[in-house]
Amino acid sequence: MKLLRRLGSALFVLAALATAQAVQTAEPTLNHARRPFPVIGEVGEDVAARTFTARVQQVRCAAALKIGEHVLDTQGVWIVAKLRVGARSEPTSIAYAAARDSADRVYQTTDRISLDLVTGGLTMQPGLPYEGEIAIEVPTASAGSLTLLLADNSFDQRLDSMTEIRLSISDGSACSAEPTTVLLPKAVS
Amino acid sequence: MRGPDSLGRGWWRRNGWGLVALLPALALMLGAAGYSDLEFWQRGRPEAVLPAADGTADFAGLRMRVAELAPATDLKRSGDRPFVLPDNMTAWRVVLDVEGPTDLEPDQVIYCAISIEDTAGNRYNDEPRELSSARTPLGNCNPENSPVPAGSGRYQTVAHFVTPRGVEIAAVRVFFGGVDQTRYVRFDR
Repeated sequence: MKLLRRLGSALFVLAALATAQAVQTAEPTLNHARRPFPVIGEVGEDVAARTFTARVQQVRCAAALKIGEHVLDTQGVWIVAKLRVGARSEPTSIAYAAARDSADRVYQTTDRISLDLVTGGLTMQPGLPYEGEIAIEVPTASAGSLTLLLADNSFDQRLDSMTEIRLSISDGSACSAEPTTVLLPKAVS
Repeated sequence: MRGPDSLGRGWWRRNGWGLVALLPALALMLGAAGYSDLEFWQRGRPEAVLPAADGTADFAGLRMRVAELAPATDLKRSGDRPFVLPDNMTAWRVVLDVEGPTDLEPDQVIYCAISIEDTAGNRYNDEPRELSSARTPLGNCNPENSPVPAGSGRYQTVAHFVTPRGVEIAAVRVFFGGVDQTRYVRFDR
């Protein structure tokens, strides 16, 4: 009887450990549990994140960028999006911009040119929006399935809102072969 | 769960006080865990400290009052050329009279951040990008940046802001992040 009780206790402990392991395995990872809150929108409409609003006004793709006298080519294609962004109720900047393709690969904005509009370099005051263009270098095959991601924190976007705007490019192989320029940010009324 | 012990006490009798002690222990644990979160939350929503009836506020070892809050229509660029804002914007000037200890070295002065709040609750920071071409002093409560000579511990600090045209300013906020991140001085207009 004593042996049976001890055996039962051991089985109970094993069952508890197995249950704990199963629960831990089934739980989402910390990064998944704390993932950003998506605010989804379309090209041409205002999308309001917690601290800023953003509208993709136009989007195009090209084989090269023309920055002054310099031409920046790529092995993929350049996605150039014209944005109108503004702070909501407090001064803020957009410090994270990237494009995610249908395979969940994420491409951040290029660091080959300066993009103050989305790299934290431009602090916007409420009610005083800015317009400008950003450029992202992506593989040609990804160009047709991109979603633009914007957030105000460059290091950690978790547990905060993030705009997700589907970019209206249907086919990366149909991008312009001509180099395209990138508009600098300017205040708009 | 064993049967009665040598004194004839069952499991509940043996562990009764332990179970009772669990409740305050749980409360202490939750309190300790919540304290850091509470402080973090308070830093995100600092509490307003209001001035006395004569308009002066004592905070962070300084006595201060708002001497001026008005549109700044006389801003200059370098070389004394007039600075003109776009039609949709208004520049504002805030002048604080500050009184601090007389034996304080300039580099010992606590720095402040001044912002203004409109009647809709929107907040605007000083040194906005829109005024980057204007010649404006640093409004950070440091006597070295005072437009009038600092004497007897008395000096001024001047900050400039930009808002959309037509906005009414409701309050000036002075924040001493190096001293207290949970409170700020609020001068209602």
